[in-house]
Amino acid sequence: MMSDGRELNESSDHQLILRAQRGDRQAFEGLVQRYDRKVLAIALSFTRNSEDAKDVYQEVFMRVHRALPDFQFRAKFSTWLHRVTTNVCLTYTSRSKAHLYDSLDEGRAGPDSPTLGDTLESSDRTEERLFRSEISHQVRNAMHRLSPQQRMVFTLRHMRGHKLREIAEIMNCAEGTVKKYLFTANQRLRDELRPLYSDVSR
Amino acid sequence: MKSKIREMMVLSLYGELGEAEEYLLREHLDNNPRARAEMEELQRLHDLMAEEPWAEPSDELLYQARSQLFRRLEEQEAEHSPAASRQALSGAPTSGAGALARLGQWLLGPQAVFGWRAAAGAMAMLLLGLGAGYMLFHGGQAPFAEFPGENNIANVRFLDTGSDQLEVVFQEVRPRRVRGSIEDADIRRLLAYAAVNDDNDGVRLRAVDEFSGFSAQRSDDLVKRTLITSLQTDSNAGVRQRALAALQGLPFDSEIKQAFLNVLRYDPNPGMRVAVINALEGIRSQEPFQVDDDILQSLRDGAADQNDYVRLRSQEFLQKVSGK
Repeated sequence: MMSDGRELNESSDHQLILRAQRGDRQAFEGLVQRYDRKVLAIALSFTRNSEDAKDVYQEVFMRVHRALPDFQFRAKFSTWLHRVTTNVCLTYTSRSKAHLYDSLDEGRAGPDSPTLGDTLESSDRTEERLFRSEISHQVRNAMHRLSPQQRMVFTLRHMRGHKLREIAEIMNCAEGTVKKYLFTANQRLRDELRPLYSDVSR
Repeated sequence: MKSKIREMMVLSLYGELGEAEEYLLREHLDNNPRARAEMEELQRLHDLMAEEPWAEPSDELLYQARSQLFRRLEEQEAEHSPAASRQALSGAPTSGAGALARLGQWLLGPQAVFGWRAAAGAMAMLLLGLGAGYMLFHGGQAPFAEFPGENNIANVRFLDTGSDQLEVVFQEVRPRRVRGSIEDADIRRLLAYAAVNDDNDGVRLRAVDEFSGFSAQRSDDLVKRTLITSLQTDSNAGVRQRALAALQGLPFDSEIKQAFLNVLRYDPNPGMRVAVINALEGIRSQEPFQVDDDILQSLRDGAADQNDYVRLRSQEFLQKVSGK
């Protein structure tokens, strides 16, 4: 079945899923494009670097593609997708254990990236980047010393803005458990990063 | 302070407290300066985390991930279709050839009937073969990949316009060449940028090495901070090791000390953790520095390291500096 872009944009999740279940790949791609930014954002927040995030992204959508024919609309598609994302993240092993650092342009690169001239004209920018990268490095290290569950709850609540009850549904556990993970994550990050935010706030 | 109050503070920051609990918490904070200070501290932590730039993926990253996924799906579909064996004979379809492959697959798929569709399908597969042959004899480069002038294009993205018009965004990459010695501040800034940003390990290593020679002669804040950043954050242990060596040529100050202690505590590579103990020992033999509580605590942590040699070296150095 052939579809055009506008038709896909106007279709509901339900329609797209039904069509994807019948093997319409464009309908599946339409679903992907509707939700994949969020999936990649969770993966990027959870993993250490963009390569790992891309791996998680691939695994999530390949799993969804395989399992979609059996999807029975008992949960919202977005909730199910987030659950798959969470499971993949929690079981993912980084390709590079020593990969502590991403490009400072991560998440910012675009057509207006600085030219060599800009870079050389602005020594402040380089120094600011160095300073920012030191902070980022320590924040990421602290994040990655949390348990995977604490880190996932923190990622979903703090960075993605999900409500605790949504996280409980996504992670398939009690809301009280989610609260406990979030509380412990905050305590541990506060203890580890105290020197850092004390300096920054000065 | 009761852990229930602490839990309420965290939940309040996320807007997850009910009205009654929020009221109780505010009342508690109004009457308890210690709790209020703790709440302010939590707020500062949240502000700090909010500044982190890595929460949102760039369009470029999303495009890469999406392209890779769609290519996999396409390959998977081709593998499971009756046209797969025919495609295999023509070579793996890529880019423009992929569209022809899809067309051929549709025309020659299970729904094909004898007649015009079969004939058109055969034509599409012939075109695919010709296309693959053309790319083969042109070094794998599609002709439209060439761009006039000395500029190259990179990071091509297609924007959804909602019409039959195509909107393409890309970066023009223009090679530039500068020449100068390490004494030149512009060259140093360029090296600093490369040392911290370049994707290529060899380039970062070279940049750090260039600083190594310079830093031995004189002190420069940008050079020092670049080396500290490389030491603590580079993904390649070789680059981190060279940055460590270069920093040993600089006057040992509190920033360098802190970077060394961070390596001892957090570097995933035991070789680096040992190297930093050796560095501290070497510096101390040349210009004795005061062994403060930070250093002692880091060495005590090192003495409990999971790696035998890090433990041994930490204990040895600890004994030396504490005079036991």
